[in-house]
Amino acid sequence: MNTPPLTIVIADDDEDDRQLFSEALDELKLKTSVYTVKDGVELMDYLSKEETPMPYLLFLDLNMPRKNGLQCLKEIRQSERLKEIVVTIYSTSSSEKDIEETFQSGANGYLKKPNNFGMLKKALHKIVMYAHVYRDPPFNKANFLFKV
Amino acid sequence: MKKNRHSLLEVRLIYVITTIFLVGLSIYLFFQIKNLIDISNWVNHTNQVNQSLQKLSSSLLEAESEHRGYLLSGEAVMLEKRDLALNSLKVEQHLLDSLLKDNPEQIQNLKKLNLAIVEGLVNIKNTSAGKVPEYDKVGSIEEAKKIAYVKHHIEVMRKAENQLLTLRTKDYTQLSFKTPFFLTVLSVCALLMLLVSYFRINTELHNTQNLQHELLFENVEKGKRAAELVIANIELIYENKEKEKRAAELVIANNELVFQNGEKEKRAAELIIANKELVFENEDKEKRAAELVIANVELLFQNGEKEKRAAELVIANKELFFQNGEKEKRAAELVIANKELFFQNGEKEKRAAELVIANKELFFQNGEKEKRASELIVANKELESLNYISSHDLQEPLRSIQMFASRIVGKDYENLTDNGKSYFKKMQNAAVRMQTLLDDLLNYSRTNNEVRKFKRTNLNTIVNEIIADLKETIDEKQATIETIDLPVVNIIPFQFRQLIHNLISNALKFSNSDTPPHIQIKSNVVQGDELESELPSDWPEKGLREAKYCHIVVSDNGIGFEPEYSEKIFEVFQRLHGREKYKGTGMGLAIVKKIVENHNGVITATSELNKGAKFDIYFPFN
Repeated sequence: MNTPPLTIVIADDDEDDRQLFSEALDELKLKTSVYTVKDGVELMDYLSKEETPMPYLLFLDLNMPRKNGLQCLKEIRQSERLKEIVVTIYSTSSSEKDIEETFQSGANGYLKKPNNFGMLKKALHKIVMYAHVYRDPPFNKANFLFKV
Repeated sequence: MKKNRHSLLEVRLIYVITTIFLVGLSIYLFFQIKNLIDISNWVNHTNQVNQSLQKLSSSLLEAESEHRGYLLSGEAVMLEKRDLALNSLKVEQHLLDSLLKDNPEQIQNLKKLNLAIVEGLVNIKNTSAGKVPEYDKVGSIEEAKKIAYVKHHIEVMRKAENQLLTLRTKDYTQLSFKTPFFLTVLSVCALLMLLVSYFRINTELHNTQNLQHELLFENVEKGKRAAELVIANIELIYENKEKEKRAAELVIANNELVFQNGEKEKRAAELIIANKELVFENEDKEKRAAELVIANVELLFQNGEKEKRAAELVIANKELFFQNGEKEKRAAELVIANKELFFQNGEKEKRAAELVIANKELFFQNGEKEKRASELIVANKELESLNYISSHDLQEPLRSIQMFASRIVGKDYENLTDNGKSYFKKMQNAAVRMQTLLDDLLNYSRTNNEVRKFKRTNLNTIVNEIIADLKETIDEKQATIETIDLPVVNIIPFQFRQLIHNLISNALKFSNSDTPPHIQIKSNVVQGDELESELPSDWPEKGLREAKYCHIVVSDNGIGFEPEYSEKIFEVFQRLHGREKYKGTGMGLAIVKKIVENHNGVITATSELNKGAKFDIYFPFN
C-alpha cells in the first residue's frame, strides 16, 4: 500500500484546538497528513495556490479573525476549482442557526468541538472513513451532522 | 234553411230539365247526322250506278266495234279484245245487279236491259275465230237496231238514276244546312245552361259558405256556453255541498237551540225562585234604611266636632306664618355662603391652571422616560449579545481545559499521586459545572436572540418527544405522565419544547423519594375576563378581556416549595436546595419564564412544602 497520505486541512485560530486536532488524527494512524492554517485569509491563500494538492477533507472553524469560516465556505463553493472539496464545519457553537446556515451554504458536515479527547478521536475517525460518501451529492441533513 | 232547400230543388230541377233537353237535342242531332250520312251514301250509290251504266255502255260499244272490226279484217286479235269487253260488260252487269237490289223500279229496268243485251249480243257472241261470216247488210242493220235498243234502255236507267240523284242531292243540301244549325243551337243551349247553373251554384256556394261561417261561430259560442255551463255546474255542485254542510250545521244549531231552550226554561224557573228571594231581600233593605236614618243623626253630631277642629287649624296657620319669617332669615344666610363658594371656585381655577403646568411637566417627563426606555432597549440588546458572545467565547478556553484534562487522564494519570488524582478530579468536576453553567446561560440568551417563528403545533407531539427523551429517568423513577386535552397551538416549537422539557425534568428531579412521581399536563381555553383575579397586575396582556387564552397546567406530587418562593424560583441562577442534594444551575425555570414571555404569556407557580407543585401557563390562544 504505497498510496500517498490523504491531505486533511484544518483552519482554526485556536492553537490548542489545532494541536489537539493533529494529535487526535496522528493517534488514529489513518495515513493522513494534516496541514493547519490560522485563519480564513491564510486558508484561501493556501488553497488558491496552483501547487497545492486538493485536500481530501477540510475542517473549518466558524469563528476566526480576518475571514470567518462561513465566508470561506461560500468562496470555496463558488470557486470552479475548489467547489468539490468535502468541508466539515468544526465549531464550538451548537446553535441551530449556525448549523442551518452552513448547511445552506454547502457544508458537507458539522462537528461540534467535543470536550473530551476520546470523543474527538472517535468523531474524526468516522468522518475520515466516510468522507467520500459526502463528496457526491445529494447529501442530506441526516448524514450531515457529526455531533458526537 | 227553407230557402236553402228551395234553391236546392230549383237547381236540381234546372239540371234535370237541362239534361233532358240536351239529351233530346243530342238524339235528334244524332238522327240528323245519320240521315245526312245515309243520304250522302245514297248520292254516292246513285253516282256509282251511273258510272257502272256508263261503263256498261262503253263496254257494249267496244265489244260491238271490235266485233265489227273482226268481221271487216278477220283479225283474231280483235276477237280477243271483243271477249275482254264482253267480260267487263258481264262484270258491270253483276255490279249493277248487286247495286240496284233495293230499287224495284230499276231492277225491272235492269232486267229489260239484260234481256236487250242478251238479244243484242247474240251475233257478236256467237262469232268465233276461224270462220269469218260474210257481211250481211240486213243483219248488221238489225244488229245496229238491237244495240240502239240496248242503249235506249241504258239511257232510261240513267235518266231514272239522275232523277234519283237530283232528289237525293236536294235532300242532302237541305240536311247539310240543317245539321250545323242544330249543332250550333245545341252548343249555345248547353253553354247557356252551363252559365245559368254556374251562377246558381256560385250564389248557392256563397250562401253555404256564409251559413257555414255562421254555424262555426255558433258552434264556438255553444262550446263557450257549454264550458260556462260546466263551470256553473261545478259551482252549483260546490254550492250544493256548502248548502248541505250548512243544513247539517243548521241541524246541529237547531239541536243546540232546542237544548238552550231547555236551559232557558230551567233558568226561568230559577229566576222565579230568585225573584222570590229578592222580595225577601227588599224587606231586609227597608229595615236597613231605618237603621241609616239613625246613623245620619250621628253624622250630624260628628260635623259639629269637625268645625271645632277647623278653628284649631286657624291657630296652627298663624304659627306657620311665624316660621316663614324664620326661613327668610336663613335664605339671607345662604346668600352669604354662596359668595364664599364663588371665592372658593376662583381658588379652584387657580389650581387647575397649576395642574395644566404640572401636566406639561409630566408630558415632558414622559418623553424623557420614553427616551430612557428606548435607551434601555438598546442597552438590553447590547447586554444580550454581550451575554451570548461572552458565554460563547468563555466556552473555548474551558473546552481546552477539559480537553487537556482528558489527555492527562488518558496518558499521564498514573504519574499523579493519590492526592494529585483527587485534586485533578475536583478540577475536572468544576470544569464540567462551569460548562453546564455556560450552556444554560447560552440557552437563556438564545431564547431572546433567535428568530421567533410561530407555527401551529400539536402539544401532544411535543410532550411525546420529551417523554421519549427522558425515558431513562422516567423508567428509573417509575414515573407516570398523564396528558389531558392537549390542543394544537400557535407557538415557537423549538422553544416550547425546551419549556415543557424543563418543567417535566424539574418535576422528575424534585420528586418525593418514597412515592413514584406522577406528572399531569392538562389544558383548556379561557376567556380573558376570567383571569382577572388570578394573574399578576403587570402582565401586559391582562387588559384584553375579550381575547381567548390557552391555559396549560403542569402539576406534580413532588416535594414542592414554600409559598414565599413562588416568584423567586423564576429568577436567574436561583436555587432552593444545596448542590449536593439536587444538581442544577438554577437556570431551568428562568428559561421557562423567558420562553413564556416570548409567547406573550405569563407563568405562575403555586405550591406548599411536600404537597407538590403546580405551574399555570397562560398565553394568547391564537
